Amino acid sequence: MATRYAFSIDLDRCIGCQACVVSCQAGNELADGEAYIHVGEQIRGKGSTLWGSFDHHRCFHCADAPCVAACPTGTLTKWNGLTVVDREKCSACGYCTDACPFKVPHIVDNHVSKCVACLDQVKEGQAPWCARTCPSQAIHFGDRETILAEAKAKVAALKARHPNAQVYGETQLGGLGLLMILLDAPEVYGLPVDPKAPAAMQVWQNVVQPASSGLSVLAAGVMGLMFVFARRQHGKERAEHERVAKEEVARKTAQPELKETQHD
Amino acid sequence: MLPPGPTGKTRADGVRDTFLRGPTAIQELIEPMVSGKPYPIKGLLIYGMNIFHTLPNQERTRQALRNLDLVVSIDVLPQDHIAWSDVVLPEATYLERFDDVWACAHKTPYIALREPAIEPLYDTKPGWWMARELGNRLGLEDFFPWATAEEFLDRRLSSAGLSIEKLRSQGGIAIQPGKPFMADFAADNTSPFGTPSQKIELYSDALAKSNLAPLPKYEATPEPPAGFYRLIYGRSPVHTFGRTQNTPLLHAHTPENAVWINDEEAARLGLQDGEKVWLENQDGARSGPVAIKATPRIRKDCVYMIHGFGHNAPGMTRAHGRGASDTALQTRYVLDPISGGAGLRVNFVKLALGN
Repeated sequence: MATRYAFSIDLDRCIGCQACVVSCQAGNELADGEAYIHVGEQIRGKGSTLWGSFDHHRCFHCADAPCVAACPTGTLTKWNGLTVVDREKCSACGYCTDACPFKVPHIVDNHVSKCVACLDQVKEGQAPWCARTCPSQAIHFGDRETILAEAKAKVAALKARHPNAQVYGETQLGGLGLLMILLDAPEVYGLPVDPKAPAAMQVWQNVVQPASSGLSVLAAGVMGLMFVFARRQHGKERAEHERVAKEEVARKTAQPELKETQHD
Repeated sequence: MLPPGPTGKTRADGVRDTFLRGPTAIQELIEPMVSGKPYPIKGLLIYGMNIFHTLPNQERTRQALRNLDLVVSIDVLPQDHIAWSDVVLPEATYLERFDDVWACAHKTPYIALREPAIEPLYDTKPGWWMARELGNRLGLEDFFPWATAEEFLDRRLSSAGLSIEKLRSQGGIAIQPGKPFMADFAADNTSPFGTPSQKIELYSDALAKSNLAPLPKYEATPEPPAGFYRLIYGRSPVHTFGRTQNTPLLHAHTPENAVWINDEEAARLGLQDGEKVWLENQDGARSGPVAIKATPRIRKDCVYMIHGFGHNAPGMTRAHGRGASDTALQTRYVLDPISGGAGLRVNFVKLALGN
């Protein structure tokens, strides 16, 4: 039987240092400004009741992933419990962004942008960059049964100080592939207790998707027409680009650019 | 009166005269550079330190630099003080040079090799190379009996039965099973504390003999004047001191700092979260513009910011002009009479709207 992988994030251990965010960007060689992980600050109460935690906004790798169901191109698929991405197949239709109950995937540079579970690393027997980098050992990765058992053991230990401590994600959407160790109820963290795919998803899966093979013939015709118009416009644009580029060269020759500096 | 030091000579930074003991108190050297007392200081070699993001009273630091005959800077970045230097020695980055081995004791003892991953991309040299070349030209050859970093490291590693080759073959690191901190000292009945009682001393006879409070005694610090807030500062886990603000990934994550102010206090002042302000301290020193972070996480009489922002050097292409500098707003400090440390949280700022 294939392995079912999962992550866990222990919010009792997270120190909000952002090392997972940066190691993910560096390890996956993401484009400038692109990030698969967002770690934010959550503040509750006031004065003596003030307390805070860190909010990890990233792919939950749902077993019954609405994004996978919505994806018309096979870009998003399940692999050993993880929701993985075949970037080359993406048409940037954005259906996944609407389907996700956690509002995780988004479109960056005409491709879906979300956690790819560091598949290249995992296939070589390594943990994803975030889990390997976390200095407070708040992020774990491995066989889901083991990860879940460890998370439950941690929660049992937390109960003395935090009676509402719990594992989030054991059963939601067929069981999440990213479990969160919470010190309080999910609502406190702004997490949906029972996340669901949007109602429109039902229509999509039952009606639109089966009909889409017919639609694509029509779409191909429309695309052909669009192409003709686009070529005309392209000619005009290219002339404009060449003019701007010439000006740019002239400007740079007149004014030498600052040399790129090196950083420690 | 403090006890005299072993040589009986006065030190420019005031050790034994204005404070009890400790390593060099760099902020105490600025006044001698300006006044020439207790003796003239003619030259300064700055290595891996951004003095404008470290020392209080930037105007006084500028005066000191003007007074010096020679300022030499060794750095990997074109930081603010580089333009004030007579000679700049650009250093190779840590990925392009050998450094001394990194050795840690006690909990998990290890020795780590620090060697270059690539050749220097530009015309830069490692710090050890500069030290050796300068030393040899100054007639200090005896201190540099090795020709290369590898030779030096191999000699050092040999005392632990290691070598560069051996460390490389095991991934660049040698780890030993650790033992608790005190275990090393229990065996030969010595103490790590260096006190007469060989214990942690809550009451210190040594301090009493130097006319200093033998028990720590709270001394009230001045309160901010009306309309001012105490300026406190700290670190972000994303940035290290003032030297990572220009690093692309870290800059993209936290490009500038914000000035934290109590949310109710911000509302009282009619300030919105994210709004830009200038900060001005009790002596008229200014820094900004910087965005406000209105939060319940801070008291009403303080404002807080992350240290290390507000770079002025144009060569710091990303960090230049981003955020505010706490150091620029620290024109005063209080000298700790024991360690010579500078207490910087005695400055007060007011907020002025505008870009």
